[in-house]
Amino acid sequence: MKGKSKNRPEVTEDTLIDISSGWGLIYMLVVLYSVMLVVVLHFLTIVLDFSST
Amino acid sequence: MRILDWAVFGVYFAGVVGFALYQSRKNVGIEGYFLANRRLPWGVIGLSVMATQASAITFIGTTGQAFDDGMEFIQVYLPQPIVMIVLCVLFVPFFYRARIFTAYEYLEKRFDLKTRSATSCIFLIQRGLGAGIVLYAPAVVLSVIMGWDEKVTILIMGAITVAYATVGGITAVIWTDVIQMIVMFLGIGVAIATLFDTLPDSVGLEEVVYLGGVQDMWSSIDWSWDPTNTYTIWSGMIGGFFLALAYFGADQSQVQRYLTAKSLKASRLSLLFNAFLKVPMQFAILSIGVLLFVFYHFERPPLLFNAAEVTLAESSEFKGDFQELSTKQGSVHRLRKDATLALLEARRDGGEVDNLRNQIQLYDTQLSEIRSEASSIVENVRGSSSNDVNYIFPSYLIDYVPAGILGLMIAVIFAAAMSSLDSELTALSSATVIDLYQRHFRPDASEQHLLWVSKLATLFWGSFGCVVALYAGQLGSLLEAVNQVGSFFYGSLLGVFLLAFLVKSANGNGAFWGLLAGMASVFVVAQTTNISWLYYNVVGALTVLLVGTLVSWMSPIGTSEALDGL
Repeated sequence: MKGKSKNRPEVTEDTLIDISSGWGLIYMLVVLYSVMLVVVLHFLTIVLDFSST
Repeated sequence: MRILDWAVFGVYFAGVVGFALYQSRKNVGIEGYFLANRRLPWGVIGLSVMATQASAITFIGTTGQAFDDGMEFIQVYLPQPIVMIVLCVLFVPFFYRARIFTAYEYLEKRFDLKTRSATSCIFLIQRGLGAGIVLYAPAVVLSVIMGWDEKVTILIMGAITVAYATVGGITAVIWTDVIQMIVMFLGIGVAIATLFDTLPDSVGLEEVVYLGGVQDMWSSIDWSWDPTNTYTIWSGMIGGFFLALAYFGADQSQVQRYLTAKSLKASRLSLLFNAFLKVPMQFAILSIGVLLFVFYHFERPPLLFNAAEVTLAESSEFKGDFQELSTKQGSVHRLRKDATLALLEARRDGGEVDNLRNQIQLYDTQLSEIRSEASSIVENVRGSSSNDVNYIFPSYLIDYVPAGILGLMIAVIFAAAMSSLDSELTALSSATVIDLYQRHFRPDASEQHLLWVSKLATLFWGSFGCVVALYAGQLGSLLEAVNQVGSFFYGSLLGVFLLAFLVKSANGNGAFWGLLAGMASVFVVAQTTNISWLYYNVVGALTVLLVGTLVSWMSPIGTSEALDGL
C-alpha cells in the first residue's frame, strides 16, 4: 500500500503537464471565457452608453 | 458605531482568531509551518489566493476610483484568466517538481546562489515595506472616518494578524483567509443591496443603469492605442498580463499558496478557480462605485469626502473660499437632483430627454470642478496632494448604512487588510529562513531550530510592518517612492523566471546581469517617458530575457544535463 502510493503520483503528475491531455479542454474553456468577458464588456460599453443621443 | 455594529465586528474577530488557533494545531515541523505539509485542497487555496490579492485598498480605493472614472479599471484584470493558464502550464509544474519551499529556491537549482539571494532580497525589501502599507492605508481611512486613533487601529489589526500568523503558520493563515474571503463576498453583496435600499423608492436597477450610462460610467473597454493612457484594453491585456504573471508567478506571497496543494492537479485547480471568479468579483466591487455615483445624485455629497481635509481647509486662511465653494456645490447639486428626477420622469412618460441629459452632464462637470478647486485649497494649505478617493465609500457607510451593516463593512475592510498581511508575513518569513538563514548561516540546523527561527522571523516582519505603518504618515512621499520602486522590480523578477523556464541555454550569469539590466531599463523608461506604469513590467521582463540570453551566450558555464527536470 505504501509502495503504491509512493510510485503512483510521479507518473500521474508528469502526464498532467501535457496540455494535450484533459487539461487542454479546461484551458480552452478558460480562453473562451476570457474572450467572452472582453466581448460582454465591450457590448455593455456600447449598449449602456446613454451620454449622447 | 452602535452596539449591533460592535457585536458583528466582535463576532468577526472572535471567529478569525478562534478558527486560526483551531487550525494551527495541525502544524508539525518546518514543512507544516510553511507549506501545511503540502496537503491542502484546491478550493481552500483558491479562496486564499483571492483573499491575499484583495487588500483593504481594493474595497476603499477601487470603489472610489469607479465613483470618479467609471468601470475602466476592470481592464487591468481581464488578462488574469489567461495568466492562470500560463501559470498552470509553465510555472506550477516546474515549482511542483522541484519540491521547493520558496520560488527563489528554484532559481538556485536552475541558476546559482547569487540569483536566488538577489531575487529573494528584492522580494524581502519590497514586501516588507508593502506589509506596512497594507496596514497603514486602511488605518488612516478608518481613523478619519470612524474617529479611531490611527496608531491604535494599526496596532490592533497588526497584533492580531501577527499573533495567529506566528503561532499557526501557513495553515492558520490560509484557513482564516477562507473566512475572510467569505466575509468579503458577503460584504460586497450587502453593500450593493444596501445602496439600492438607500436610493429613492422610484429608482430601481433600470434607473441606476440608465443614470450611470448618462455619464458613461459603465464604459469598461477603451480601444485607444495611446500608450500614455493608463487604462486601455491594450495596457490591460499587455501590461496587466505581465503584472499579474509577476504577482502570481514570481511573488512568494502567492507562490507559497499553491505550493501547499496536495497535488499538481490541486495547485492548478486553485488557480483556475481564480480565473473564473476574479473578474466578476472586481466588476461587482467597481459597480459599488458607480452605484455611489448615482446615489449622490439624490443625496448631497460632502464637498470633500475626507473629513480631515475639510477641517483643515475650514481652519485655514482659505476658509471663506472653501465655504463659498460649499455653498456653490449645494446649489449645483440641487439643480442636478431636480434635473435627474425630471429626466427619469420624462423617460418614463416618453418625453424629451436630450436637454435634461445635457443639463445633468453640465452639472456633473461643474460639481467635479468644484471638488477639484476644494482639493486645490487643501493642497495649498498642506503643501502635498489631496487624497479624497479612498474616503468616498467609507464616508457613505458612516452616513447612510443601518446598524449592523456598518459593523459588517468595517469587518470587511479589516478582513481584506488582514488576509493580505498574514500571507505576506508567512511569505517573508519563509524567504528569510529558507533562502537566507538556512542557506547561508545554518544549513545543518535541526527541524525544531528552524521552526523556532521561522516563528521569530514572522514576528519580526509583523513588527517591522507595524513600525513602517506607524511612521508611514511622516514618510509621505517616501511611501510613494517605495510603491514606484516596487514597480521597477516586479517585471524584472518575472523576467528571471521566464528566462529559467523558456531559455534552456540561460545560466546564472545571464540571469543575474539580466536582472540588473531589467531594473535599470525600467528606471530609464520611467524617467524618460510618460507611458502607463502598467508597461513597466513588460519592459523589465523583456529586458531580462534579452540581456539574460545574450550574457548566457557570451559566458557559457556548466552543462544542461544538470537541469533535467528543472
